[in-house]
Amino acid sequence: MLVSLIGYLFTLALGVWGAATAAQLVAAGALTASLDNLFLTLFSALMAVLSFGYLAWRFNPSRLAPAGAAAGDGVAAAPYVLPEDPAYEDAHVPLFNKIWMGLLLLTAIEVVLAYVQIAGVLVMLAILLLLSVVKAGMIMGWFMHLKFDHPAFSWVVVAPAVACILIMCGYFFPDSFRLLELGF
Amino acid sequence: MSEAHAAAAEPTWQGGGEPFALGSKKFGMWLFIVSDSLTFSALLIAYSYARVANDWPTPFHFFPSIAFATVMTLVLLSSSLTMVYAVSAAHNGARRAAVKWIWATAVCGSIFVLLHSYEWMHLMRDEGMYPWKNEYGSPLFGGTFFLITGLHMFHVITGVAYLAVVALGYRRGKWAPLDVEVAGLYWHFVDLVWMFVFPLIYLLSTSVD
Repeated sequence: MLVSLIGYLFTLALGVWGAATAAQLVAAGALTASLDNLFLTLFSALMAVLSFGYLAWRFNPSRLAPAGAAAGDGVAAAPYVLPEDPAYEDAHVPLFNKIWMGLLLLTAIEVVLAYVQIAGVLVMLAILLLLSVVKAGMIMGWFMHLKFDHPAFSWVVVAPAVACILIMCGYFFPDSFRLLELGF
Repeated sequence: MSEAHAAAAEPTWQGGGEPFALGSKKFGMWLFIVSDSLTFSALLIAYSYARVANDWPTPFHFFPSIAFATVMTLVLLSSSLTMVYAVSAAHNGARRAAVKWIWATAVCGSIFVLLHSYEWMHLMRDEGMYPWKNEYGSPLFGGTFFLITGLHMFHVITGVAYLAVVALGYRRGKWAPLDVEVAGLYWHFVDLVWMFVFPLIYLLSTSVD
């Protein structure tokens, strides 16, 4: 209970921090000043959206109503029961085939994009990364079974990893653009 | 599965707790995957940094580099599918089918390693590209290429060995379907990493004539 409370407060603080930083950067005209500032603004805004989005989802009354014992009590939920039916795995096999075909299709699109090159390096990097994130999500969700595991587990496992990667991107990438402009 | 859920009802400090009703083995593998994914993302972000901040060469022709890498991607994705079949068969109690699918996965992994080794040999012998020097331009190109694909290939080789051990142990009845599933998690992760290595390392270095 206390741990959850600390977690929610931390998420709220992160959201407020992100929103405040983004607002301050926008107010200072950072959006058009340089690529660095644009990146930092978007990064802060993304943190705010993710934090507030999570809290809105977590305390959404319509989501809590069927599971919660008492009205307004967000913590008391029915214990999660994993599906145990042996046919459960079997039922997903056609779905896994479809996921596999989807992954092959996305790979083909990536290879074609490498030759068509609709934009410069930065935009191509972004497009390819976006497609890769979609593919990674498909692999984690279905092949690695995350979609059928305990819902809280996805948050515990994926959220910190995504946060770490975003922080790495957010703080190191602007520097590489600066290096490019300096011409080293 | 049912005794696992009975154990989950016991108090955590008596050792009965199952984190997230998931089983400690699965949970442990997931923790490893998270830490390993941070290792790979640090390397890939460092690579992208060097890629953006330098005048980067784009020397890879369709044949053999891009064609090989595409086939390797296809092989790795298919090996993930056979692993899903193996886990599914193991959970349904079809031991022989599960062992067969695990071996199929290991064979796909070996094909991946063979193709990748051939690609490396080609780059070193015919193109004169090494981790410390190359004829295209920035020496970082060879360094990042061999470091990242090498670390990934090390994971694939480890994974093939892991799958072989699990296949043998599971056939003898030493291990449970859960162990097959945990091995599957590792294998899917290796596949997942390649989904980032392939576009970033290969497709962004394609020579477009």
